[in-house]
Amino acid sequence: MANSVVEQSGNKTYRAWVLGLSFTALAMLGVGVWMASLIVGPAQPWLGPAFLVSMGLAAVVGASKTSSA
Amino acid sequence: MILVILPLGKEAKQVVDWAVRVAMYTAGSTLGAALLALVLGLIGKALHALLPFIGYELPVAALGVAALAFALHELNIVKLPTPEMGWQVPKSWQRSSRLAGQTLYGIVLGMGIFTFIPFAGFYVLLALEMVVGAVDLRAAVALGMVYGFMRGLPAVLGGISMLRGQFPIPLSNWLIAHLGWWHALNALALLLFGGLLLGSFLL
Repeated sequence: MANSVVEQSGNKTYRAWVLGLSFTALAMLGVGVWMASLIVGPAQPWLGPAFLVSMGLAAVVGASKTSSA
Repeated sequence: MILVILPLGKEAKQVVDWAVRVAMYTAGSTLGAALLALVLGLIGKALHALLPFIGYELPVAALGVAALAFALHELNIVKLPTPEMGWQVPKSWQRSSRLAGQTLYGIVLGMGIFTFIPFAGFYVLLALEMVVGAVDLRAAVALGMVYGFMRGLPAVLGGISMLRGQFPIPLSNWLIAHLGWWHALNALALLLFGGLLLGSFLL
């Protein structure tokens, strides 16, 4: 899982990692909600900006699998 | 897979042989993922035809909730079930022909559902392909192709590192050692996606 990155390192590094990740996670959620505010009505993941974000998700999931290869 | 598809030398013929095999592996991976996306899209279409009263809004909202829940799973905040077959592609597929065997590897690994599923974002992607396919099969197939192409990258990276005179084990080790970063990246992508889908209902 995500926070296993530095769980073996010192407390300070671990705290910095958790804080950084939490902040970035909230920022990403905020960006998602902000993008939603630009869309009229429910998002349609088969077209427009929601489709682009869907493509990004597919790329991230596919690239992640490289680490398991 | 990095260690299976290698140039196995720097002679021109060996490099060409590798380039053909890696191209076929990546094409297989893209094709396998696209085929699965097509099947899921058709299932989505059939479900929509059977249950037209559900519409598109409820599945999109459910996708948003699932994306946020699986983001929390990737961040190790909650624990969700992550079923997988965990099957490993057999070495025997390469016995008669390395090219055919490695193309088959690409197709099966590109589908992704038969082997290990280490990232929860994959479940959201499968559900997304079903929902998207119910409206537009081409969009679902495009999502599958992007996933499958990116899935085929390790073989390309391993081969390039071999051509540069580096044995690909350091690259493979680097990828595995940074698993936590990959989980974090998945969580961030899921948060963006979930925030967009759910936010569009709330705002």
